[in-house]
Amino acid sequence: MNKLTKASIAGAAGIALLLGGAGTLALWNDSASITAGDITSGTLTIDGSSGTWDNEWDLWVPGDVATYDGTLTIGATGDNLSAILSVDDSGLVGIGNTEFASALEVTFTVNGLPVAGVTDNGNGTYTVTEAADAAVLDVTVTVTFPANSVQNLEGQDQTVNLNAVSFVLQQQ
Amino acid sequence: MPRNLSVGAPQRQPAHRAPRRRVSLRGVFTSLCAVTVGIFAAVLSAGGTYALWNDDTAIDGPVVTSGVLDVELSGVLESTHWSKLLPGERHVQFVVVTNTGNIPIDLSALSAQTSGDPGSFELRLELVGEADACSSPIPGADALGSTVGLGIMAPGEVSHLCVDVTLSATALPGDDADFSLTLTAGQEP
Repeated sequence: MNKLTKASIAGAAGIALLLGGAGTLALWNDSASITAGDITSGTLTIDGSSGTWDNEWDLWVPGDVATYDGTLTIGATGDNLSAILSVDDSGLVGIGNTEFASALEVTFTVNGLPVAGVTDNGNGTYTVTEAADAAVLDVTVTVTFPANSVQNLEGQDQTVNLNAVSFVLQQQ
Repeated sequence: MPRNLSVGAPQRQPAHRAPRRRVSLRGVFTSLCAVTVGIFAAVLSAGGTYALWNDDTAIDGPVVTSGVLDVELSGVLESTHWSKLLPGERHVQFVVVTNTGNIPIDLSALSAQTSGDPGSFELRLELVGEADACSSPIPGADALGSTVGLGIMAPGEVSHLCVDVTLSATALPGDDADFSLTLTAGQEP
Protein backbone atom coordinates (compact mmCIF):
# COMPACT_ATOMS: atom_id res chain seq x y z
CA MET A 1 0.00 0.00 0.00
CA ASN A 2 1.53 3.26 -0.92
CA LYS A 3 1.83 6.27 1.32
CA LEU A 4 -0.95 8.21 -0.34
CA THR A 5 -3.37 5.40 0.15
CA LYS A 6 -2.36 5.00 3.77
CA ALA A 7 -2.81 8.72 4.38
CA SER A 8 -6.26 8.69 2.78
CA ILE A 9 -7.34 5.73 4.84
CA ALA A 10 -6.04 7.37 8.01
CA GLY A 11 -7.78 10.64 7.19
CA ALA A 12 -11.05 8.91 6.45
CA ALA A 13 -10.76 6.93 9.66
CA GLY A 14 -10.16 10.12 11.61
CA ILE A 15 -13.15 11.81 10.05
CA ALA A 16 -15.30 8.76 10.71
CA LEU A 17 -14.25 8.83 14.34
CA LEU A 18 -15.20 12.48 14.61
CA LEU A 19 -18.56 11.94 12.87
CA GLY A 20 -19.35 8.85 14.86
CA GLY A 21 -19.34 10.96 18.04
CA ALA A 22 -22.84 12.37 17.14
CA GLY A 23 -21.64 15.72 15.78
CA THR A 24 -22.62 17.37 12.48
CA LEU A 25 -20.70 19.58 10.26
CA ALA A 26 -22.37 22.86 9.38
CA LEU A 27 -21.86 26.50 8.91
CA TRP A 28 -22.13 28.47 12.09
CA ASN A 29 -25.60 29.57 13.30
CA ASP A 30 -27.24 30.95 16.38
CA SER A 31 -30.85 31.88 17.40
CA ALA A 32 -32.68 34.14 19.80
CA SER A 33 -36.40 34.60 20.59
CA ILE A 34 -38.25 37.84 19.99
CA THR A 35 -40.96 38.86 22.45
CA ALA A 36 -43.63 40.10 20.02
CA GLY A 37 -46.61 40.38 22.35
CA ASP A 38 -50.26 39.41 21.65
CA ILE A 39 -52.07 40.12 18.38
CA THR A 40 -55.85 40.47 18.50
CA SER A 41 -58.38 41.12 15.73
CA GLY A 42 -61.05 43.80 15.82
CA THR A 43 -64.78 43.34 15.52
CA LEU A 44 -67.53 44.33 13.12
CA THR A 45 -71.09 43.40 14.05
CA ILE A 46 -74.59 44.76 13.64
CA ASP A 47 -77.68 43.66 15.55
CA GLY A 48 -81.22 44.84 15.02
CA SER A 49 -84.16 45.00 17.39
CA SER A 50 -87.81 44.37 16.64
CA GLY A 51 -89.30 47.57 15.32
CA THR A 52 -92.75 48.93 14.56
CA TRP A 53 -94.54 49.85 11.36
CA ASP A 54 -96.61 53.03 11.16
CA ASN A 55 -98.96 51.60 8.55
CA GLU A 56 -99.87 48.02 7.98
CA TRP A 57 -101.71 48.22 4.73
CA ASP A 58 -103.91 45.24 4.07
CA LEU A 59 -103.54 45.76 0.36
CA TRP A 60 -100.87 47.96 -1.19
CA VAL A 61 -101.64 50.22 -4.14
CA PRO A 62 -99.34 52.55 -6.10
CA GLY A 63 -98.54 55.56 -3.95
CA ASP A 64 -98.59 53.73 -0.63
CA VAL A 65 -95.75 54.37 1.82
CA ALA A 66 -94.97 52.66 5.12
CA THR A 67 -92.20 53.34 7.61
CA TYR A 68 -90.47 51.05 10.06
CA ASP A 69 -88.76 52.37 13.20
CA GLY A 70 -86.15 50.28 14.95
CA THR A 71 -82.69 50.33 16.50
CA LEU A 72 -79.33 48.96 15.44
CA THR A 73 -76.49 48.12 17.79
CA ILE A 74 -73.05 48.55 16.29
CA GLY A 75 -69.95 46.57 17.21
CA ALA A 76 -66.89 48.18 15.65
CA THR A 77 -63.36 47.88 16.98
CA GLY A 78 -60.22 48.44 14.97
CA ASP A 79 -57.89 51.39 14.73
CA ASN A 80 -58.27 51.46 10.97
CA LEU A 81 -61.82 50.22 10.77
CA SER A 82 -64.13 51.93 8.30
CA ALA A 83 -67.41 50.32 7.24
CA ILE A 84 -70.43 51.28 5.20
CA LEU A 85 -73.89 50.92 6.75
CA SER A 86 -76.62 50.47 4.16
CA VAL A 87 -79.95 48.78 3.58
CA ASP A 88 -80.12 45.83 1.24
CA ASP A 89 -83.40 45.10 -0.54
CA SER A 90 -81.94 42.77 -3.15
CA GLY A 91 -83.69 39.92 -1.40
CA LEU A 92 -87.10 41.39 -2.15
CA VAL A 93 -88.58 39.01 -4.66
CA GLY A 94 -92.19 38.50 -5.50
CA ILE A 95 -93.87 35.30 -4.44
CA GLY A 96 -94.98 34.39 -7.93
CA ASN A 97 -94.84 37.48 -10.11
CA THR A 98 -92.26 40.20 -9.65
CA GLU A 99 -93.68 43.58 -10.72
CA PHE A 100 -94.79 44.52 -7.21
CA ALA A 101 -91.45 43.51 -5.66
CA SER A 102 -89.50 45.30 -8.38
CA ALA A 103 -91.52 48.46 -7.92
CA LEU A 104 -90.94 48.79 -4.17
CA GLU A 105 -88.29 51.29 -3.11
CA VAL A 106 -86.53 50.94 0.24
CA THR A 107 -84.54 53.70 1.93
CA PHE A 108 -83.39 54.32 5.47
CA THR A 109 -82.13 57.10 7.69
CA VAL A 110 -80.18 57.17 10.92
CA ASN A 111 -81.94 59.53 13.26
CA GLY A 112 -80.44 61.75 15.91
CA LEU A 113 -77.18 62.61 14.17
CA PRO A 114 -74.50 63.62 14.97
CA VAL A 115 -73.47 60.32 16.53
CA ALA A 116 -69.78 59.69 17.16
CA GLY A 117 -68.31 57.50 14.46
CA VAL A 118 -71.33 57.70 12.14
CA THR A 119 -71.19 59.91 9.05
CA ASP A 120 -74.01 60.47 6.58
CA ASN A 121 -72.58 59.92 3.08
CA GLY A 122 -75.51 61.71 1.48
CA ASN A 123 -76.39 58.80 -0.79
CA GLY A 124 -78.47 56.67 1.53
CA THR A 125 -75.47 55.09 3.25
CA TYR A 126 -73.43 55.89 6.34
CA THR A 127 -69.77 55.45 7.19
CA VAL A 128 -69.10 53.79 10.53
CA THR A 129 -65.79 53.85 12.41
CA GLU A 130 -64.54 52.57 15.75
CA ALA A 131 -65.88 55.65 17.50
CA ALA A 132 -69.36 54.15 16.95
CA ASP A 133 -68.55 50.96 18.83
CA ALA A 134 -71.47 49.96 21.08
CA ALA A 135 -73.64 52.76 19.67
CA VAL A 136 -77.37 52.09 19.49
CA LEU A 137 -78.66 53.83 16.39
CA ASP A 138 -82.24 54.93 15.96
CA VAL A 139 -83.19 54.13 12.34
CA THR A 140 -86.21 54.54 10.11
CA VAL A 141 -86.81 52.39 7.04
CA THR A 142 -89.20 53.74 4.42
CA VAL A 143 -90.85 51.37 1.96
CA THR A 144 -92.58 53.06 -0.97
CA PHE A 145 -94.75 51.73 -3.76
CA PRO A 146 -94.28 54.71 -6.07
CA ALA A 147 -97.35 55.97 -7.89
CA ASN A 148 -95.56 55.97 -11.25
CA SER A 149 -93.76 52.68 -10.84
CA VAL A 150 -96.15 50.43 -12.74
CA GLN A 151 -98.20 50.69 -15.90
CA ASN A 152 -101.86 49.87 -16.38
CA LEU A 153 -102.66 47.10 -13.90
CA GLU A 154 -99.15 45.69 -13.40
CA GLY A 155 -98.21 44.46 -9.98
CA GLN A 156 -101.70 43.60 -8.80
CA ASP A 157 -102.44 40.74 -6.41
CA GLN A 158 -98.78 39.99 -5.76
CA THR A 159 -97.04 39.24 -2.49
CA VAL A 160 -93.69 40.31 -1.07
CA ASN A 161 -92.05 39.43 2.23
CA LEU A 162 -90.51 42.57 3.73
CA ASN A 163 -88.48 40.40 6.09
CA ALA A 164 -86.10 40.06 3.16
CA VAL A 165 -84.87 43.62 3.71
CA SER A 166 -81.74 43.78 5.84
CA PHE A 167 -79.19 46.23 7.17
CA VAL A 168 -75.61 45.56 6.07
CA LEU A 169 -72.35 46.72 7.64
CA GLN A 170 -69.54 46.19 5.14
CA GLN A 171 -65.90 46.90 5.88
CA GLN A 172 -64.29 49.17 3.32
CA MET B 1 6.37 -28.22 -10.47
CA PRO B 2 3.38 -26.18 -10.08
CA ARG B 3 2.22 -24.42 -13.10
CA ASN B 4 2.05 -20.72 -13.02
CA LEU B 5 -1.55 -19.99 -13.85
CA SER B 6 -1.37 -16.27 -13.53
CA VAL B 7 -2.46 -14.41 -16.68
CA GLY B 8 -0.91 -11.21 -15.54
CA ALA B 9 -1.70 -8.48 -12.98
CA PRO B 10 -4.85 -6.45 -13.86
CA GLN B 11 -4.30 -3.05 -15.34
CA ARG B 12 -4.78 -0.26 -12.86
CA GLN B 13 -7.53 2.04 -14.10
CA PRO B 14 -7.43 5.72 -13.35
CA ALA B 15 -9.97 6.88 -10.72
CA HIS B 16 -13.12 7.85 -12.55
CA ARG B 17 -14.93 10.77 -11.13
CA ALA B 18 -18.39 11.81 -12.23
CA PRO B 19 -18.38 15.16 -13.95
CA ARG B 20 -18.94 17.91 -11.46
CA ARG B 21 -22.38 19.38 -12.03
CA ARG B 22 -22.84 23.08 -11.72
CA VAL B 23 -25.85 24.06 -9.56
CA SER B 24 -27.63 27.20 -10.72
CA LEU B 25 -28.85 29.47 -7.92
CA ARG B 26 -31.51 30.80 -10.22
CA GLY B 27 -32.81 27.34 -10.72
CA VAL B 28 -32.91 26.73 -6.98
CA PHE B 29 -34.80 29.99 -6.41
CA THR B 30 -37.33 29.20 -9.10
CA SER B 31 -37.96 25.79 -7.65
CA LEU B 32 -38.33 27.22 -4.17
CA CYS B 33 -40.91 29.74 -5.44
CA ALA B 34 -42.82 27.00 -7.19
CA VAL B 35 -42.94 24.94 -4.02
CA THR B 36 -44.07 27.96 -1.98
CA VAL B 37 -46.83 28.78 -4.45
CA GLY B 38 -47.90 25.19 -4.47
CA ILE B 39 -48.20 25.10 -0.68
CA PHE B 40 -50.10 28.40 -0.68
CA ALA B 41 -52.52 27.10 -3.28
CA ALA B 42 -53.04 23.97 -1.26
CA VAL B 43 -53.87 26.02 1.84
CA LEU B 44 -56.41 28.10 -0.12
CA SER B 45 -58.04 25.11 -1.69
CA ALA B 46 -58.58 23.61 1.76
CA GLY B 47 -61.74 25.83 2.08
CA GLY B 48 -60.83 29.40 3.04
CA THR B 49 -61.61 32.72 1.30
CA TYR B 50 -60.22 36.10 2.03
CA ALA B 51 -62.64 39.00 2.24
CA LEU B 52 -63.32 42.18 4.16
CA TRP B 53 -65.59 41.79 7.15
CA ASN B 54 -69.35 42.22 6.87
CA ASP B 55 -72.42 41.53 8.95
CA ASP B 56 -76.15 41.97 8.41
CA THR B 57 -79.45 41.92 10.27
CA ALA B 58 -82.94 41.64 8.80
CA ILE B 59 -85.76 44.05 9.57
CA ASP B 60 -88.89 42.73 11.22
CA GLY B 61 -91.10 42.98 8.14
CA PRO B 62 -94.50 41.49 7.30
CA VAL B 63 -95.65 39.79 4.15
CA VAL B 64 -97.47 42.41 2.09
CA THR B 65 -99.85 41.99 -0.82
CA SER B 66 -100.81 44.42 -3.56
CA GLY B 67 -104.47 45.12 -4.29
CA VAL B 68 -106.62 44.42 -7.34
CA LEU B 69 -108.51 47.09 -9.29
CA ASP B 70 -111.28 45.71 -11.45
CA VAL B 71 -114.74 46.86 -12.54
CA GLU B 72 -117.47 45.15 -14.52
CA LEU B 73 -120.44 46.52 -16.43
CA SER B 74 -123.59 44.65 -17.17
CA GLY B 75 -126.79 45.61 -18.96
CA VAL B 76 -127.25 47.62 -22.13
CA LEU B 77 -128.52 51.07 -23.08
CA GLU B 78 -131.33 50.56 -25.56
CA SER B 79 -131.39 53.24 -28.25
CA THR B 80 -135.06 52.53 -28.86
CA HIS B 81 -135.83 54.23 -25.55
CA TRP B 82 -134.29 57.42 -26.90
CA SER B 83 -136.09 57.48 -30.22
CA LYS B 84 -138.97 59.65 -31.20
CA LEU B 85 -138.35 62.07 -28.36
CA LEU B 86 -140.03 65.42 -28.38
CA PRO B 87 -138.18 68.65 -27.46
CA GLY B 88 -137.56 68.62 -23.72
CA GLU B 89 -138.57 65.00 -23.37
CA ARG B 90 -136.17 62.71 -21.55
CA HIS B 91 -135.64 59.08 -20.84
CA VAL B 92 -133.38 57.62 -18.17
CA GLN B 93 -131.75 54.23 -18.43
CA PHE B 94 -129.07 52.56 -16.35
CA VAL B 95 -126.33 49.98 -16.53
CA VAL B 96 -125.04 47.98 -13.57
CA VAL B 97 -121.54 48.75 -12.37
CA THR B 98 -119.76 46.37 -9.96
CA ASN B 99 -116.44 46.94 -8.23
CA THR B 100 -115.03 43.44 -8.61
CA GLY B 101 -111.60 44.37 -7.23
CA ASN B 102 -110.53 44.48 -3.60
CA ILE B 103 -109.73 48.20 -3.33
CA PRO B 104 -111.98 51.29 -3.55
CA ILE B 105 -112.30 52.82 -6.98
CA ASP B 106 -112.91 56.37 -8.12
CA LEU B 107 -115.41 56.24 -10.98
CA SER B 108 -115.71 58.83 -13.74
CA ALA B 109 -117.31 58.95 -17.16
CA LEU B 110 -116.48 60.78 -20.36
CA SER B 111 -119.19 61.25 -22.97
CA ALA B 112 -118.80 62.44 -26.54
CA GLN B 113 -121.14 62.90 -29.47
CA THR B 114 -119.83 60.75 -32.29
CA SER B 115 -122.18 61.71 -35.11
CA GLY B 116 -125.42 63.45 -35.95
CA ASP B 117 -126.82 66.91 -35.30
CA PRO B 118 -124.83 68.78 -32.72
CA GLY B 119 -126.76 70.32 -29.87
CA SER B 120 -129.76 68.10 -30.49
CA PHE B 121 -129.67 66.45 -27.08
CA GLU B 122 -128.31 66.81 -23.58
CA LEU B 123 -126.77 64.14 -21.41
CA ARG B 124 -126.70 63.82 -17.62
CA LEU B 125 -125.20 61.09 -15.49
CA GLU B 126 -125.43 59.94 -11.89
CA LEU B 127 -124.36 56.92 -9.86
CA VAL B 128 -126.88 55.49 -7.40
CA GLY B 129 -126.99 52.45 -5.17
CA GLU B 130 -128.20 49.12 -6.45
CA ALA B 131 -131.43 49.42 -4.54
CA ASP B 132 -132.05 53.04 -5.47
CA ALA B 133 -133.93 54.38 -8.44
CA CYS B 134 -132.37 56.79 -10.89
CA SER B 135 -133.43 60.39 -10.55
CA SER B 136 -135.63 61.70 -13.30
CA PRO B 137 -134.57 64.18 -14.30
CA ILE B 138 -130.99 63.75 -13.23
CA PRO B 139 -129.91 67.05 -11.73
CA GLY B 140 -126.96 69.04 -12.92
CA ALA B 141 -125.63 70.56 -16.07
CA ASP B 142 -125.32 68.96 -19.50
CA ALA B 143 -122.34 66.60 -19.27
CA LEU B 144 -122.00 65.85 -22.98
CA GLY B 145 -118.36 66.25 -24.04
CA SER B 146 -116.92 66.42 -20.54
CA THR B 147 -115.64 64.10 -17.81
CA VAL B 148 -117.99 63.66 -14.87
CA GLY B 149 -116.84 62.40 -11.50
CA LEU B 150 -119.29 59.79 -10.26
CA GLY B 151 -117.89 58.98 -6.83
CA ILE B 152 -116.15 56.21 -4.91
CA MET B 153 -117.21 52.60 -4.97
CA ALA B 154 -116.10 50.25 -2.22
CA PRO B 155 -114.81 46.77 -3.00
CA GLY B 156 -117.72 44.56 -3.96
CA GLU B 157 -120.16 47.46 -4.21
CA VAL B 158 -122.83 47.34 -6.92
CA SER B 159 -124.21 50.58 -8.33
CA HIS B 160 -126.40 51.81 -11.14
CA LEU B 161 -124.97 54.28 -13.64
CA CYS B 162 -127.98 56.32 -14.67
CA VAL B 163 -127.94 57.98 -18.11
CA ASP B 164 -130.45 60.75 -18.79
CA VAL B 165 -130.88 61.75 -22.45
CA THR B 166 -133.05 64.81 -23.02
CA LEU B 167 -133.93 66.11 -26.46
CA SER B 168 -132.92 69.73 -26.64
CA ALA B 169 -135.62 72.36 -26.72
CA THR B 170 -134.08 73.59 -29.94
CA ALA B 171 -133.97 70.20 -31.68
CA LEU B 172 -135.55 69.99 -35.09
CA PRO B 173 -137.71 67.22 -36.42
CA GLY B 174 -135.60 64.43 -37.84
CA ASP B 175 -132.54 65.29 -35.81
CA ASP B 176 -130.51 62.33 -34.70
CA ALA B 177 -127.23 61.76 -32.93
CA ASP B 178 -124.93 59.10 -31.58
CA PHE B 179 -122.76 59.31 -28.52
CA SER B 180 -120.11 57.28 -26.75
CA LEU B 181 -119.73 56.84 -23.02
CA THR B 182 -116.39 55.78 -21.50
CA LEU B 183 -116.35 54.71 -17.87
CA THR B 184 -113.01 54.91 -16.03
CA ALA B 185 -112.28 53.28 -12.69
CA GLY B 186 -109.18 54.69 -11.08
CA GLN B 187 -107.41 54.07 -7.81
CA GLU B 188 -108.97 56.12 -5.01
CA PRO B 189 -106.77 59.19 -4.55
